[in-house]
Amino acid sequence: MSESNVMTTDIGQADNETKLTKRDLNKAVWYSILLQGTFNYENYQGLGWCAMLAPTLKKLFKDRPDELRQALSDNTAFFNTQPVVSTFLQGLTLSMYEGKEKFSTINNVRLSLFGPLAGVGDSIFWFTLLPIMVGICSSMAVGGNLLGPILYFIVYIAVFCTRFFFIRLGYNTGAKAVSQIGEQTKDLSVGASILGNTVIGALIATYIEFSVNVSIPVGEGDPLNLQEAFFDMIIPNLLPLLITLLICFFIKKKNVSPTIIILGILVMCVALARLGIV
Amino acid sequence: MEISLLQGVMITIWAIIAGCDYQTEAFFIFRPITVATVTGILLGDPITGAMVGGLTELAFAGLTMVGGTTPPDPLVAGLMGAVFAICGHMSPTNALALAIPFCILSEYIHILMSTAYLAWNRIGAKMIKSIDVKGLVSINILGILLSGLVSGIFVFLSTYVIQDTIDAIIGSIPEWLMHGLEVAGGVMPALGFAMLLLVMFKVKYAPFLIVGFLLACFIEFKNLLPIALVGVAFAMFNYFYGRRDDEAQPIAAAENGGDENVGI
Repeated sequence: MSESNVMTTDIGQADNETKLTKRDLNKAVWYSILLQGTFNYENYQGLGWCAMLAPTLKKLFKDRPDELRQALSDNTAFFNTQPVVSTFLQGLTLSMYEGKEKFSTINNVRLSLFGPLAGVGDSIFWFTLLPIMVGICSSMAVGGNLLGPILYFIVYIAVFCTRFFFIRLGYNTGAKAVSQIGEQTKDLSVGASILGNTVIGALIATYIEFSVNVSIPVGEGDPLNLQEAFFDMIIPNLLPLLITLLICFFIKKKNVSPTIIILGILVMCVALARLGIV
Repeated sequence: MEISLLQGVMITIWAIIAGCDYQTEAFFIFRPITVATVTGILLGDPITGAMVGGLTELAFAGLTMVGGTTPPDPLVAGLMGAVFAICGHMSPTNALALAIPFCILSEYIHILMSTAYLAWNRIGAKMIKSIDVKGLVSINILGILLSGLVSGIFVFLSTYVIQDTIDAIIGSIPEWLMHGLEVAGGVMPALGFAMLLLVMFKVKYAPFLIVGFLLACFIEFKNLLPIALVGVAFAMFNYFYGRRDDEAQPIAAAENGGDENVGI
């Protein structure tokens, strides 16, 4: 993918500039839905990323088909980031194409940013917002309160709307902003982790149902119920906590896949139920 | 309760819409809590749908698509759970456990699709050569619709077409097995929480995990919002009172940043 031959046409056309408008950016956000449309194991989101840029690039490279072809082709390379914050990189990339940066520079920025950006996006949306939403909305829903799903729906529509903000952030602030954003989100991510861990602790105690049903005969008197007389005496919900930590251990230390864990839970619980232990 | 053809078709259309969203992750309507509630509305019992959806959402909390991995299908889990609970008159925990085989089967279908989707790259390359931007956008939309359609067909087969077979299987499940499945459904959220902990837990956050756990052990809540507010209070306390060290030694703090990535 050499871009040197096409870049030479740049100079003669400098006066004929196309500027992106607010409307272009808003339209680009709707195209960002395409990011995972053709997700595959070769270039992951590559083709989708190319498609979400394509209509806007077509406007920028109106009279320069060779450059447009090169730009489109460059952007089909391996790409994998978090969908919401992908619009940040979309805005940034578009602003660089608009500013007539070298294609090689743009490619380097994209390749060096999509990974870190995925990290920021995943930690905000999958590992902070989701557990909190799950904690609040699921607890309502499990109790038969329809407000839970409704709230969940509204919040994620709002999350989609942040794409209109992220694309502007990328478009206006440029590549230098990434390190600054990293600094600013540090406080935020510590706060979010504190909040998240508090909620997960409560979730473990509230929504895992597991108790043993074993009674040990004690001489003449009433049999000793293992759950009430032993586990609950130590601390309530001890078993749910231990199960959670055990699953953590199997995934982290033994590299067991979640699917196998699910099947394992099914088999273990059925076996324990057959034996009359639970 | 039997699923009528009309209900089967409506559930299928809903599965296609949610399936498109599962592929794009745009509006998050593919998550179990939403899928199951809407399925409940279509089957005339939104409350039961929400109850199953809430439970399934807990179990799938940490099963994310991060890094391009494909987890058990949350859409199918929520949808089949709602169908089992409403049509089979089951408890949410039982319904969740019975939905598991379906969502794992669907997981493998999606893995196959992501492999087959390599073909789009060949088509896309041709379109780029002829600078067909409309075509490029179209094939990506097609990819989304195709994925939704696969979810729809899967759901139509599992809910409407083979419902008599499923009824027969459920009817023949002995009581001990049903009880075992119920227990498994109750334990399933532990996986969701474990997956979250693996990412979010660091030793320095252990106090908050412990406090959250203990509060929920001894105080009864209608939902977890009060606990979340306790978490917010901790976070604000940390922000307003815990910063001074950082400001006093900005260089040391920067150098030591993220050193406690111990995890579990």
